[in-house]
Amino acid sequence: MKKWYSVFLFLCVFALVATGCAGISGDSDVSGDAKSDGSNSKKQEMTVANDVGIISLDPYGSAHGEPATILAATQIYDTLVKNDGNKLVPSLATEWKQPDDLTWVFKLRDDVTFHDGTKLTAKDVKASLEQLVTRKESPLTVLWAQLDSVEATDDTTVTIKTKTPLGNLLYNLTLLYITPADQATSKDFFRKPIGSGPFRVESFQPDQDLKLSGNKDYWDGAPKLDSLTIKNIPENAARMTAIETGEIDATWTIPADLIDQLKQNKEINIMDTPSYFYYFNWFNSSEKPFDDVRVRKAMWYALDTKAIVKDLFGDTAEVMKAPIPSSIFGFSEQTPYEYNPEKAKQLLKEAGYPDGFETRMIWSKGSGPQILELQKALTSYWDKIGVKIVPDQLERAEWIEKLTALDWNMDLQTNAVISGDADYTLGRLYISQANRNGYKNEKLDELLIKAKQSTDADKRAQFYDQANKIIWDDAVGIFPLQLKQIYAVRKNVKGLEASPTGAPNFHKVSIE
Amino acid sequence: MAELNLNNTLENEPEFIPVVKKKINWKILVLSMPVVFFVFIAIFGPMLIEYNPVNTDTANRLLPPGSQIGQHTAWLGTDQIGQDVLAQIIHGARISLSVAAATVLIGGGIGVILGLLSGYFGGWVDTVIMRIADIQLSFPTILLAILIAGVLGPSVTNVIITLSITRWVTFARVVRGATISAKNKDFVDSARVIGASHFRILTKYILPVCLSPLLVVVTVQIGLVIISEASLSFLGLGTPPDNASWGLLISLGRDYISTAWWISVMPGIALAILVVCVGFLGDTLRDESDPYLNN
Repeated sequence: MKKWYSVFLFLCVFALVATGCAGISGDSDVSGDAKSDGSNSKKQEMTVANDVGIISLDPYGSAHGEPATILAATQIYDTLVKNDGNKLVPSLATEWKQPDDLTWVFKLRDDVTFHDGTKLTAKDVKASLEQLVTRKESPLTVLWAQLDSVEATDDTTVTIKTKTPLGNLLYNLTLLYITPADQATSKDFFRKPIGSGPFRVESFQPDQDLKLSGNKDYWDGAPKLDSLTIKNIPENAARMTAIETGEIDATWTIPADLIDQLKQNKEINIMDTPSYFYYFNWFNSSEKPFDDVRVRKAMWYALDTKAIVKDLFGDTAEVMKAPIPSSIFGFSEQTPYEYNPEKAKQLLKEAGYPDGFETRMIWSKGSGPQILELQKALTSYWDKIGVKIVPDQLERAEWIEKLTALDWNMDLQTNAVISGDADYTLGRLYISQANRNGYKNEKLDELLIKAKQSTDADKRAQFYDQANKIIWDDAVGIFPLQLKQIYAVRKNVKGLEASPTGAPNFHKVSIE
Repeated sequence: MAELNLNNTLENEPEFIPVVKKKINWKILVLSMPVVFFVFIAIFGPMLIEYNPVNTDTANRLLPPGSQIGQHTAWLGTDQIGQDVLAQIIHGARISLSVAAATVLIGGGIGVILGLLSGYFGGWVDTVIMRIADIQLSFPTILLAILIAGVLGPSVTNVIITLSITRWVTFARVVRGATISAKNKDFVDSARVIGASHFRILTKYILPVCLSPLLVVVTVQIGLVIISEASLSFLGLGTPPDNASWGLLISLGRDYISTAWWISVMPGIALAILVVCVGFLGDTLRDESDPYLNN
């Protein structure tokens, strides 16, 4: 009896050791097996993390302009036109023409279905655009201010009419996500929405994680991934640990101080691309003291922008030369504000604030890399000219609410020119009608409208050049730096292209 | 008989055992030294080391401990915006300790008054006060603190209010217990017979009896309050960013823990030493003041 017992014990120990060894060498073995058996044997599951949580999947709501929402929308929904690097390519729309300056006719694919199997028709496109325009919640609604009507001529033809010529209509369409007309109006729809995109929603917890599964019936070929999870890991250190341990397969928006650490890890590739992201610090020009251009300029002269960017951001950012990043259509270089605290003090004195003043600055913690460090550095420089900052760090949802309600003196944030066209930022944010920062200038409005309505690229560039100059010289905000988009991707991930918008498309991505 | 022996009885009351005995208690002395040291730093440190929480020096950021910046040495390194970690810890000590002192004073004061009333009068006064205390105790303290701090918003005053609200219960319970056991003692009865007012009995006869257990509670609570304040600050609900306490310093250094460990670790060590010493000191004092343990 005792003998049998010890044999049993030995077998147990042996089994444990054997499984333990298998576990240790598992990584290489499993991938070898997968190759010999054909790649279908291993589940293609991918987890990525970003630093800002997805708060809503509603592509017509107040979070529409948020990069995190765009990231989710890119996977779930389709658009008529896509921005592929520097040119616009067909997506749901196969072709389009302009019978006259005010009319656009789009021909749609007829083989597209939503995730529930219903067919995508011109009616859905009409309903989606109308929902975006009539709900007026999206910060992007203003892009469509010139819309006259949208009609579903037949199942595969959409006719869009505008009141005035609209030069950036195709760019705008890259951000119009199509949802089923009969369902998308209900309130609960966006908790677990359906679209026609490469991934369908499995579950969604706002600000935490979004679980997607591959849409096998996708019209452009089924995605290689079976499932994709987009997590929110706001802590940078935790996010870096997660990519190093393999808990996540890719992440982006990596602070300068952590890149060297990741580069030492042989399992991780670092990619970078010029991004559409940049930092700005807006002034609320509708209220004292920032209603005075001298005060706004003084704030800029007080900053040693070059030193801040070099010390805090190193190779991950460049000093900005215009109110929009240099990779955007409509960029033109402006005269930089030199570091001159004496001049700043002089300007404050002229404006009637010889002893400086106190002002409130809002930001959201996850709004950009090293935002707290940047905020403190700015505060320190401004303190030297007597401007005291009351810091007000807010939760993201609360921050968006206050920001749109103009309930602030200064607002520090990052922004992305997601469409790649200056109209998205300049035409959307700085036109008086939008009233996003209290700045009103009729001449600027005129230029922005002209640029929007012109279909001639050279003329548009000229208008934007003048618009840049006004925004820059009137110091509507301070534009310290444009960021590079840094991606950390594990070596077994194939086909992921760094997106300048922070919203990469996972349609073609696979795991080896 | 009772009146004749009054003086004798008073001297023999076990509650009157002095906390510090005539011979030196080395354990208490050793444990008190770091605490006194930190209190000293909190009071005089800021006068000796110049520190402006607003000033940043981005050119000298993330320097390791012992680095030389011009003529000045950053003994504990610099943080992510180039501020001296040592200076921050010293200024943080003042905030952490003053929050602890103020909380124990306010929360403890309220607790003592309510405990005295509750224990002395009994009846419905006791029932109402103790049921409120029970209800509050059924919530986890830090959860309650987060709730209140979230509503009030981050500022030093609000942290003190928040922590006082969450801490009064412990004081009230201890004082109530001591009061109940004291109120039927002969010397209190005698005072009552003489015709002393309730106020006089409470302050002159009962309160002194409560002091010794109270001293122990105060010591223990100071440690707990410092930890709670650090936790709240860590969560972003405590002291505002321009008024860094230790908890906030630890929190802000988290992102750099693998590249610049000193930002979080240094205030962490200071916090650990202080809280552990205060905690042990409280334990030792309790043991000393407990007649049964001494026998």
